[in-house]
Amino acid sequence: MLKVRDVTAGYGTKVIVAGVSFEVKAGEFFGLIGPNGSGKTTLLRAFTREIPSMRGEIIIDGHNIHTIPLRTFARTVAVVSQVTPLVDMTVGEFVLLGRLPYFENLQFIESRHDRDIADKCMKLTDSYRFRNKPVDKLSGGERQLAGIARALAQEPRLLLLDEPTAHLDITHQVAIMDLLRKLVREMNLTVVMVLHDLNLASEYCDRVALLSEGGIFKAGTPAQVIDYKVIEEIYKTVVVVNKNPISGKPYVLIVPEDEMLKSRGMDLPTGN
Amino acid sequence: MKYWRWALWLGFLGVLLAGAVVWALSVGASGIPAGKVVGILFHGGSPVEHSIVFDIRLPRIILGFAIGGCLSLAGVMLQGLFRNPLVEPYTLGISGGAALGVAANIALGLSAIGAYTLPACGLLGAGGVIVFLYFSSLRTGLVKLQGLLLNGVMISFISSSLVMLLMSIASSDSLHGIVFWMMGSLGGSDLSLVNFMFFLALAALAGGYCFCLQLNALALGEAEARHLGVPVELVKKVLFVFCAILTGLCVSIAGMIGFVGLVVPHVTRRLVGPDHRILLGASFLAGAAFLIASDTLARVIIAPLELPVGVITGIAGGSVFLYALSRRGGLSHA
Repeated sequence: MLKVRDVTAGYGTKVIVAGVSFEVKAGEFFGLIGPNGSGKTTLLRAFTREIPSMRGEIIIDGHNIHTIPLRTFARTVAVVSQVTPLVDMTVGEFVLLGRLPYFENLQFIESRHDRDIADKCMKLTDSYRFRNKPVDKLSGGERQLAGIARALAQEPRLLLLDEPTAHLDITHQVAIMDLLRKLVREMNLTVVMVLHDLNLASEYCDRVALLSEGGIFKAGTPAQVIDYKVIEEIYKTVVVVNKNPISGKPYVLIVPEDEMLKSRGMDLPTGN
Repeated sequence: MKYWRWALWLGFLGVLLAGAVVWALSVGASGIPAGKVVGILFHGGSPVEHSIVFDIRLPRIILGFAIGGCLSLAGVMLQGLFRNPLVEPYTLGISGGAALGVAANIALGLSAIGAYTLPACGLLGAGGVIVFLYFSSLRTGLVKLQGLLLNGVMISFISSSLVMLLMSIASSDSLHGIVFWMMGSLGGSDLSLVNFMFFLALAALAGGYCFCLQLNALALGEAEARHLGVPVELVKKVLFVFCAILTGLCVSIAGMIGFVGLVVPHVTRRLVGPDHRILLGASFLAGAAFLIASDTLARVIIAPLELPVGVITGIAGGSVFLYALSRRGGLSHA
């Protein structure tokens, strides 16, 4: 589905990510994790064509993304940002905008088919119930559901998300991640997602790539990547990595500095 | 169903426009009553009445329709493009350039050459500003909208200072000409110019509609619009030049008629909603009706003298704007 070959990207002449290569298979839930400034979002922006890649190739479905017409691209790839824009149109109108890549030239009015798809996407994301509310009057969680509904209305095969759960409580985090997993399984959608929360990444992603200083430090299943040695090295923080007794996936616990000193003090009585 | 609502709005504004036209046709120094005007329009009347309606009042109305519609259309498109409800055609400095061109023309006495030199000089000034703005904001290959806005505001200041310089050295006749032109007027334009503006306005409306969906997408922000397959950079450039030329033409022909491009789109947006598919047409109709009504008011309020129409649009538009602000609590959601 998505092949990334030796990609270097950044802003202007400033290189942020360099020499990144990986591959995401169709129907995979893929996470990009890493500390602040490691280049996760920059890499995602190169995939969405917001910034050009300076070197290397990004290939979606066998085509270099820069050779695909913008409208065709929008029918294949949809993007959900960290924050859905505050606009005064209703959720229904907002989701219908996702049909824009399918409009013919000089077509001004959406067809029955477009409305059906928008309705279906709103029902799928549980945003149908507030379809008549203006987007700027929604709560953060509702807004993200509407954002995902709009992206789905593009009928994409690849969904790119930039931390869509960043500002949400755990109820909405789980709701959105569950929804994305359902979409991946039932609609054979491919998801590539930037995530800050290592535990969410671990629970939901089939594979993750851990970025550090503009390159991939390690990629693989969460069990392979989320290891306390790796995390401590990249995040420069002491952590405890354990297994979720129910899902069997690794989870990460942080250790405050004074607790760590206390525990070391007990283990090593000769230290300060 | 939203399409019904849209049709109702268009119908309502159409009636408003028709009302403004009938009012404008039937008031004036000679006082032909409204009922008779309709008769003259369709069946003809005495030569004098015919001449008053067809040669004096109708061209003015057509010009008001074209200028009001175009300014309002340019305003609504620029507000959508910049996602800023305070942007208007005049903020971009294009009117400043046109004013400078026209003021120079009057001060140098060039208008003696022919009726077209005044709008031609205005267009020259506006064109100069458009070219300057376009290239000054294109250094990186991307049009930076905020930079464009700031540049435009600065150009407005510079050109209004230059106009004042011209005024201070101009003869008193020229000075009066410049001042009167700057206040804006729909009267006394060449008939062929009036016809030209009418068809241009209709063409502009049709052209604007080619961008209505892109403008809807741009409401989400540039990045989101690009994700929906909109070639954002191209659309920005084309729309900017489109609105700039429209503004330049309007200002060159009718002078600085303020507030139509700011208030009418703003109020219309609040009434009909943010969808540009209705907003463009509704703003055009509302702008046309507003300017025709303002011009008529300007003609009759201190008759037989005539106020500059810019005075009426400014006072009426500004008051409506303040009222809307105080009722809805700020500009934030617009």
